[in-house]
Amino acid sequence: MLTFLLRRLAASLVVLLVASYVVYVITCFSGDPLQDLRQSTSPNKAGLIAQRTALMHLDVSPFLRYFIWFGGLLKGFTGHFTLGVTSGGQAVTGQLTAAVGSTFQLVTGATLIAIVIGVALGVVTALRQYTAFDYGTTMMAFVFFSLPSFWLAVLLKEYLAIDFNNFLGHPVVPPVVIAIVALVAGVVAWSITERGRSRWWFVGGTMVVIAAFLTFISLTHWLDNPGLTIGGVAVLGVATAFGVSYLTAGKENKRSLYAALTTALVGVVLYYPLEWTVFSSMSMPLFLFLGVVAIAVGALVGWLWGGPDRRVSMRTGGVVAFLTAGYIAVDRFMQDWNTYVNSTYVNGRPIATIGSQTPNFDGDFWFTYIDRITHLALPTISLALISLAGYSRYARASMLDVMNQDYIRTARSKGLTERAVVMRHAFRNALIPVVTIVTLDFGALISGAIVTENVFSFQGMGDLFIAGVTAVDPNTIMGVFLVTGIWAIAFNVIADVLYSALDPRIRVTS
Amino acid sequence: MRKIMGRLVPAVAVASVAAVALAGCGSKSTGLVESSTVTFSYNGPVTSLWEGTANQYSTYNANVAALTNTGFNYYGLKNGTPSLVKNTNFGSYSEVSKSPLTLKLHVNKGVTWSDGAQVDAADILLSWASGLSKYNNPKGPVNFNAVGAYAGTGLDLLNTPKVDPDGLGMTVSFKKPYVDWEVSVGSTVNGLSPGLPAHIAYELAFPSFKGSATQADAAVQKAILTGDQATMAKLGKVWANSWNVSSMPSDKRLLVSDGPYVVSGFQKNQSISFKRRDDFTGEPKKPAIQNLTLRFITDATSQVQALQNGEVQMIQGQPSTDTVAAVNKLNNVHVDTFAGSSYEHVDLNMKVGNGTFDPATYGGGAAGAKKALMVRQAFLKALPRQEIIDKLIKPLQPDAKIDDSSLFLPGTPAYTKDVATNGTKAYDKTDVAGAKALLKKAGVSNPTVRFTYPNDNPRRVSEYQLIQASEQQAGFNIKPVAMTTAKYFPFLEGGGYDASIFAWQFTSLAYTGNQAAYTSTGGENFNHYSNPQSDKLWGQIASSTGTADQTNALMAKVDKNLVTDAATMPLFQFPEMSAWSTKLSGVSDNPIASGMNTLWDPWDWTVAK
Repeated sequence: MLTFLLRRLAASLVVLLVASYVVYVITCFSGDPLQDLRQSTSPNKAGLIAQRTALMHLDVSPFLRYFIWFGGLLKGFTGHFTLGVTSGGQAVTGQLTAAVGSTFQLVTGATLIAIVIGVALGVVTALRQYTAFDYGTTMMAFVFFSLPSFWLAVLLKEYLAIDFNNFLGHPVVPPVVIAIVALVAGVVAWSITERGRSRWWFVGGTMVVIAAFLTFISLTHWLDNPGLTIGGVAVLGVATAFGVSYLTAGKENKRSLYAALTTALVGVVLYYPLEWTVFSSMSMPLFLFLGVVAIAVGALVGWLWGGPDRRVSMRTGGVVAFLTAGYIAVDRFMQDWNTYVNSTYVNGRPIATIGSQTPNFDGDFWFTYIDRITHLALPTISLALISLAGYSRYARASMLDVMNQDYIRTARSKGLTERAVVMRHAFRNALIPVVTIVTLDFGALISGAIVTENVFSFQGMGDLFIAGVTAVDPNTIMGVFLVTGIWAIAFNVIADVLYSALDPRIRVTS
Repeated sequence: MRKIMGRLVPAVAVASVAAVALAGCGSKSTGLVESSTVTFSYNGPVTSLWEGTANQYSTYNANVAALTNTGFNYYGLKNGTPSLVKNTNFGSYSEVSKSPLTLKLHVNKGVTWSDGAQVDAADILLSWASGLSKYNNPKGPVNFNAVGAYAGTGLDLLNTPKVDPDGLGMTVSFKKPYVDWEVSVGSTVNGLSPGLPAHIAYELAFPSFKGSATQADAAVQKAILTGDQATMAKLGKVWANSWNVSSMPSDKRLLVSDGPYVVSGFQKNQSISFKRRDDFTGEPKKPAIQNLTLRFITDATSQVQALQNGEVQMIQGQPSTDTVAAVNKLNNVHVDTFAGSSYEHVDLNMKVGNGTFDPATYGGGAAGAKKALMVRQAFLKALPRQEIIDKLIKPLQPDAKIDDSSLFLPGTPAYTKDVATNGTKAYDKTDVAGAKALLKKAGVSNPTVRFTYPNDNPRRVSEYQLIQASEQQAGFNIKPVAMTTAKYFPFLEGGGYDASIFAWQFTSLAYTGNQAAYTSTGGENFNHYSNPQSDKLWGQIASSTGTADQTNALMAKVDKNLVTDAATMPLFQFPEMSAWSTKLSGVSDNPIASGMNTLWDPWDWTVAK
């Protein structure tokens, strides 16, 4: 395994090196770096051209100029590593750091959301193959997939930002809209259930719950001052406990259910103490740490409930704890919502159309992240909608493939419940090819989403690349190339390792 | 199992009750510090805190200088057209002698940098010295890398200045008369108004220096006046590099400003914020607005939507018919479309192999020259100038008019005078019949014109199509030579075409701004235009010591020659658009502001609650 990895890395490095030379030379010949100066009317034109020629070493042939840049890399051995300067005279490394940061901010959330929802949709559509839901989802996925991203962004800004902000000024949903939304939800509910009497109960229930929720929002102006309160956290926590326990352990596993319920209850009990203690001095590391603590507590509860398969209970407890902690956090964010919306920073219009944060925003952890979330909402939705289609297709195909295998028939014939067949036997194996695709996608993630970055004013890797191309600035291009190249190689290797780890049939030999 | 549940339930119940009981004690303080700001957006990011270096001189970075630098004069608006206005709150200047040209400058006492140091002669000297050609050698020991290092002209030909005893002013004399001295006096980039703070530059150049700002200024002054190479080399390095940062610097000395505002926040590629300086007395008027934020939004539609969503209160960018339509639909938004300072024109190449407009093609000599002139005139007659305005510009700027002068900015009094005599008016109407007649008279039938234009610029493609249709009617055989903008300018310099379209830009009202494009040996004279009389006139203009009217009259003569020789024809000024929330008042567009067109007078802005 190790020799395989080393060989793989060495080969990649050679490819990277050769490619870097080719990219450098191609970049140099791709245009005229003095173009903007040539149309200058400045009496100092010759001087300006001389300055840029000296800065960018334009008097050296590109074939040799590469080695000036490469020399900067080699200086890393003496501690003077440099990727050179941009045509604007600034260090490429500084530009790269900033660009990588904003690209990650932009695409990480979107990719995670797209994976979770995409895989879930894929699995459900596979289980309900050739139903209205399957066709409907497939159609919508392809519609979003084929929408031009700049256009989707403009639409989102128009409806989810500008119109939604208008709506928030007076957050009352008209009865007609409530009826339509409930109806649509009913159709979706109808399409994912199977024939039978329980289907109509499910459809009716969904419609009533949706309608009741929207009416509640309208009557109480909930969106003005949203919040779950301890009651909401309790209701959601218990519901989650039942749901998660059913999916991971099955109806018959009572210990798992009790572990889940206890965990949810612990969450509810901690609701106020958390508020008074750690929440007032929250920071991102602490926030993440608390998430880990929650999982540990849930697992501990599962362990304490014991039984023959402790591990199942622990898993259920961990998942429920994580989600319940999430509800408490969401509730805490909601408590500051009203103050945020009415602050001078946003003046009643919280959903932003550009940038990653309000300039000069001065608030604590909760306010800062409300501000981040309102800014990231639109770009995240737009990127997620576009990449959702791919994941749902892969997951669906892979799930269908697995469901038609012999061992699934065997599992069914030995009398396993459908839940056990799907969750334990089919779903896990269906994930193997999806994991490879997801890993490779993460590898491509850093190269940025050029159009989306531009429309939402996130100057990330895509934007830096474009800037480099326009300025015919090989140093900038090479910086982007190096980072994306190394990142892609790393994730290719990770994909190989993961694949062999997940699928015991595959053995890597050198 | 039941046993466990039995023990657990009471415990949980007790804990819950305790929790609810404790809930009453909690009091939450809000974690939000409010502040209000006026936000405006421009179509590109600020990439450097200092615009004066060759590689950071851009309209984007000019926005910083507009708020953080003040000079002896600035471009204001007089009856809606730009003109130079003295800023007497900052200091005074006067011309004490015409021969040799001698000026006296003096900064008012109490006009300070934002760190409290007085603005003084050392700051002016640094601004001037940084632009001297001897200090701008990319391969030499001293390199300020300044954008305004104009070798052999203007401030390069200054005798060593004499600093006043109080250290706040100086007397400067020129080796050669310089017509645009007043523009240079007001320039904060390599001019005679302060740009970067000399004392900070010195402190950065000599980190071990521990003296006061006055001592640092004295050291800079001495180095410049005595030409101390070693010190200048260090100052040059700092001047060229230290301010070249694209996010909030850790060294707050880089933010020191001598303008009405000081940078208070700088988020890379996102925004830059400014806070009003309440201790400053050098601006024409105290601004009413305390905080300003400039956001960088490159996409035009995004700018309009951000304005609509209230994230910004003012936008400016290159308009397209879509953005103009979108912004016109918005409520409570004031839209201002206006003619900018760039002007599009057609150049006819007068020296190129097989050139339709080249006298050599017709045998040269007086006869050939006359024939070529008639062909050129015919071509210009058939230019659909009004049609281009009507079809391409008016949708963006309803009050657009034909630009009739290659040398003056429309709207200025000098333009009106020039247009009355330069003869361009004769070409305002498209005259296909006249063009045909001229061609016939010249004895040239169906001449081929290699017309070059950048094909990645939609407006220029449309211009080409309109021109092509009209010229074809007049009997010209138009052969397109299309290429991308990237290849276009090297091509214009190289030749291989008969006619071209592109734009020049006025960035100041300097007389000599267009000299290089219209003199025989000028660096921007791509179409090889040559008129000995004009060359002589340019010489007179550059060293003119007469009144503005007299110099303008010389310019008008040059422009008349341009038209008589049928070398070039202006088409239109680029349409520009600004839009701002009606909550803002006192905002106006100045076509030749170096950054955002509205940013020239932030002290006139007020915001309604």
